Amino acid sequence: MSNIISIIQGLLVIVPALISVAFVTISERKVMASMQRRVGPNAVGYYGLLQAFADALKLLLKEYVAPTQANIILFFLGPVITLIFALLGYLVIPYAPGTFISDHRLGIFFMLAVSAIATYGILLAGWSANSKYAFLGSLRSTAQLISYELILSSVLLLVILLTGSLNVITIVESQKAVSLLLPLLPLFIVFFIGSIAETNRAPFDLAEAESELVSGFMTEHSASIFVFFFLAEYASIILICILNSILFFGGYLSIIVFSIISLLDLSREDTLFHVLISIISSSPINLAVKTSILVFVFIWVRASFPRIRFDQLMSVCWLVLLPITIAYVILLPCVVSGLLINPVNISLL
Amino acid sequence: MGVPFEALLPFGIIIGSFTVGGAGLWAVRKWDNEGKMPRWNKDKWDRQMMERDLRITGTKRGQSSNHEAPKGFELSNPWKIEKRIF
Amino acid sequence: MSTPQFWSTPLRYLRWASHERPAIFYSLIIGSMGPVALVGLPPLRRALGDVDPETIPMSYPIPAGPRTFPKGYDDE
Repeated sequence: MSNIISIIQGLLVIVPALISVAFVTISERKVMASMQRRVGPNAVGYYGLLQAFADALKLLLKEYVAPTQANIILFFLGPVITLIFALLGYLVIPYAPGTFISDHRLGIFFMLAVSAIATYGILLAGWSANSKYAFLGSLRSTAQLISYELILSSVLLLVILLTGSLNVITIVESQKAVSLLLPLLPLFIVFFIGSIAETNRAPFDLAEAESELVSGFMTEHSASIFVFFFLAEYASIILICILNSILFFGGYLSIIVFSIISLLDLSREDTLFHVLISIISSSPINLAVKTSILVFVFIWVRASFPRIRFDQLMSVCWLVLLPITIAYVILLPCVVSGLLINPVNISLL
Repeated sequence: MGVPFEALLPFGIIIGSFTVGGAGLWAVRKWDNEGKMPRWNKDKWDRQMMERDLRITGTKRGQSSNHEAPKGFELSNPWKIEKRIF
Repeated sequence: MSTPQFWSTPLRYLRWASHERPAIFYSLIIGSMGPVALVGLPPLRRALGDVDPETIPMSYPIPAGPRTFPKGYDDE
């Protein structure tokens, strides 16, 4: 019985994730089209909504070609590793208080570790294809991912310092008074730039410059294993948008509804309206709206900025973002201890 | 000209699918926890107490205010002596 | 214009650095605000009327009355 419940819970997280992966691709094409004064895909389904499924069907029906000298096992293992570890990050995401698949006490570390392992899939896929272009692409991509992960984890350290917990739900719940965007605005900007680079998106998509080059580490991957990479890429985009909204925007909490509750002093009433508003104040729809806005900003950034050179990419990471992050790593604990601000939850063991 | 509505339709579907999935997960979790909200950030003490409550009441989230342990409680302790490795 | 040296013309060097290396320059400023905040914020906090909390007791207080030590149980 508990196995069936676990499977249902897993499906309830994975299926919406994959559906939204499909619709993120179509929304990316539609939004970019409208920003470039084009129509975009409009043939398949109403307003081209089913374009993603048509693309997936085309890719699945294609003949796959594996290079003769490739290491076949690693060649097929790479995409699988990338996709599985991109989807494993959804394990610790809270959709509402107490609504999660797995309640790790170290949930944030779990997310970070899983996204770090996904790098191995890229490395394996690029190396095993036995092609110069794939290999160089995977080296670039790995260097980029490892560099920018440093920034993400340093910013995460400060969030953990302020909230006093590594548990994802505790981090969200401690933003009931004010979302961490306000005290940590510069770090949010750094984190957002880092997360764009971490997901290999434009303007940091050196590894697979979609619009000009062959596609980096997945040059030799075709047909259905390419679908795996594609799904993994967009799943990690949504995951990192969810992470952004959890860390800085209060996740499933609705700050507006909370302020309405406190303004109208509704906290003591027990009417249907109050029950309704307390359900809305912490419900999955808030997380979904915040995540969609961030995904839109990802697409907006892609449509707006030109691609930067690889040395610029690395120097932005090590000489611009990292000094700022380290400055805040020094400043913030000093301010916290100077003002005797207690972390919201003292539950770090 | 801003973004036309048809570019925002997929976002509506994303929001809808996440909301439906999250609400379904909430319902399943609540049903699995016998109508109570699931506990989160449990440490070792919490898990031990929940396990003791399971042994006392026989259900997953049941709690008892009876100060006498039910019959058989002293025998239902699942703790085992660690196996010697060598 | 050549790059100004820090030791000969510090102010010019700082101006040059804030223009040419803004990220590192302002990072150093923000980071060095940390120790200053550590020293400067507690007096400011007390001046604004905040009272330091009592220190957390690390052991039980010693009882006031006379204490009797049991005897005769040790190995003599």
